[in-house]
Amino acid sequence: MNIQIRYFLFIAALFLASCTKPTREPEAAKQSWQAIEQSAKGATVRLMMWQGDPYINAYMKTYVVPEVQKRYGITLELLSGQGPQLVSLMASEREAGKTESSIDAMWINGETFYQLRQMSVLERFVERLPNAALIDFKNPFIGQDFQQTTDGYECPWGNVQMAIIYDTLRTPNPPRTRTALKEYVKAHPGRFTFDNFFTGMTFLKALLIDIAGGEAALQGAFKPELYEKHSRELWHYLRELKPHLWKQGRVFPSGVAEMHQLFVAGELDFTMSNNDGEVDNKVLQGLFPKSARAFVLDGGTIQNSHYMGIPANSAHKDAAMVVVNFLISPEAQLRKFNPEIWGDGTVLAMDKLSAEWREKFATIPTRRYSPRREDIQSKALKELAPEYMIRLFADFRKEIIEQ
Amino acid sequence: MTTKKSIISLANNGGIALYCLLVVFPMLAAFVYAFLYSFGVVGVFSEGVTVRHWAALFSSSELARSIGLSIVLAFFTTLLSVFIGLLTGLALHEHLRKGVFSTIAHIPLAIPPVVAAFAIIQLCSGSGFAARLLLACGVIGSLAEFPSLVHDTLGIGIVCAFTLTAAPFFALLFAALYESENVRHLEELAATLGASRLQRRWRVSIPLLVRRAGANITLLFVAVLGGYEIPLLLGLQSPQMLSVLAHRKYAMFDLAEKPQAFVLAVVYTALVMVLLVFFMKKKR
Repeated sequence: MNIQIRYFLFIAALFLASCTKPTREPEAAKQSWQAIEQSAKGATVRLMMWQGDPYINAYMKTYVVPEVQKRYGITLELLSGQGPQLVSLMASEREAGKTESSIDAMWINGETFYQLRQMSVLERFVERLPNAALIDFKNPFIGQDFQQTTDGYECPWGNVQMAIIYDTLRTPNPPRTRTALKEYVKAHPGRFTFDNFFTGMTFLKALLIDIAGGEAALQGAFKPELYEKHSRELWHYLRELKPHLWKQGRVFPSGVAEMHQLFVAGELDFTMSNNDGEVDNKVLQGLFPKSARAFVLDGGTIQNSHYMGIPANSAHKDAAMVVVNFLISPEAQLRKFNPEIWGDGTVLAMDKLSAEWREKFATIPTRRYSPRREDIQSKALKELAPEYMIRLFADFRKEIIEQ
Repeated sequence: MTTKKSIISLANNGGIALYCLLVVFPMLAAFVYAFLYSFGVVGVFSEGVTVRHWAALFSSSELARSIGLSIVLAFFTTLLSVFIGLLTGLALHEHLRKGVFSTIAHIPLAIPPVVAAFAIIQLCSGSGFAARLLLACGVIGSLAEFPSLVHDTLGIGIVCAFTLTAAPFFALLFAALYESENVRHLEELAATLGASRLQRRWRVSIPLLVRRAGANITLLFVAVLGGYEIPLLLGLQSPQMLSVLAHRKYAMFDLAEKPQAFVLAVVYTALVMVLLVFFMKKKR
């Protein structure tokens, strides 16, 4: 059914594409920022993003959407979709010969960015944003996305580190190493698993780095022989765990939202999040008990950033740039940083901010349940090249799910 | 007279033309597109005409397992839905015509597949209502002992969810057919010829009703075969039912696998066509 509708859309898009003449918009690079803001007025920006978290959705819907309307006269529409969906949407649009993309901005990183770049469908825009001057591009966790230079094709928006979440009442001493985890899982059958989407694969990457003997071993471009060698040990490790995982490892949760539910319902002892501030956010929502805490493995967990991209064939590039510029303004970043709002790490460099803003970032209500950034920063691992993620996704299915 | 006739014929032809334009043409165009895509004729990463994608899909056990699973689950869903439909339809046919029962029986018709799947999750998952109830009553010692119907190996959860949406329809259909086909008279006739109650049901009413509902039964089978939301939410990650597998190939990380989604679409369409042709022939 779904597929058939998509075919139909393909065909419909083909017709539309052949009926409309491609229009060239004025070259945005030559315009001053003021002129860009001027031309953005009255436009509608369609932003595609992951909408699996009530706090993130609330931040966007009750703060960003009304603010950009009020300040710049831009109507911001939020659409649901992430990663592979975005890539396939962009690919389909190219196949259909669409000259005008159906979306104007998207929330991306890592292998999504890599694949979109391969298709050359991204706009280079970051240098034009006035607020980009405040971004901490020198920080390798922000300036580099999965070992790739971003080259202005995506704008850093937030920075997070993966953490494992547990309940101190149920599990006072969580396993902190790969070996301890294996022992724990064997002693508590059915109580541990990970999702087979972004977070779970990011967890596997941390294990892979640990197996390879640390971050340095897998740095730089993707090397198939290194991947083969170390992933073999990873699959071996996971196959040993498999019969003791939730549902005997025959099935894995489809995402963090499902993991959180299983954790809260008592089916699992652990859940995970790519956001180190997640526990505060979820305790405040009333989802997690106040006894919930998060930790990172001794071998480290991945810290990465997430970004905003603009399709090269968006019809509202100016307005999309104005929205992204607002998202990286100190005001919007501060609000997002607050654990009571979202708890997402900022991408701004504190030394580039005015004293007033620095003070505000320093005095924001601190995390109460999540680990402090200072305590986990030393265990932060840099992302691996995107091919690792793509291979892990495919091989996890072959080596573990289908076994 | 002639003008009236020509207007009627124009309206008829117009209707057919509109049907072709809105239904037949897009379907046909989609099929041709899928066919071309599966052979690499079109596509953003196409490297020329190839049978590589067909070979890749047919050489893995994934396709056979997916088709097998889809057919088996569609078969059991159809069997169960028709069985429950006959049981309730025949037992309650008078009540199902009008009144409170009829209203209650009509409500499930409005259940979308997603809601049916969530109902199964709420009721029959490892931490669902049934599991908690049994735990509270002491029937099971821990939640883990409950045989969860979410992601279960046999696909029972999927069959239950589909049956939830289909059985009420069949109950109403059989109740309506019972009246319209004068089944009561035939049963009475059989009774005067000496048939027992069981014989009347098994030899007269049920064969008649099932034959009359044949088209609907086939359509249910096809609908389950291509169902997406229910197996997505309740199924395993391997093997996956056809639509779920096709969508994974279509929109998962590896763009190189996308043409395989179109191979699947072509295979699925062919499968459904064979089924329909087979059924039509049988009917004739």
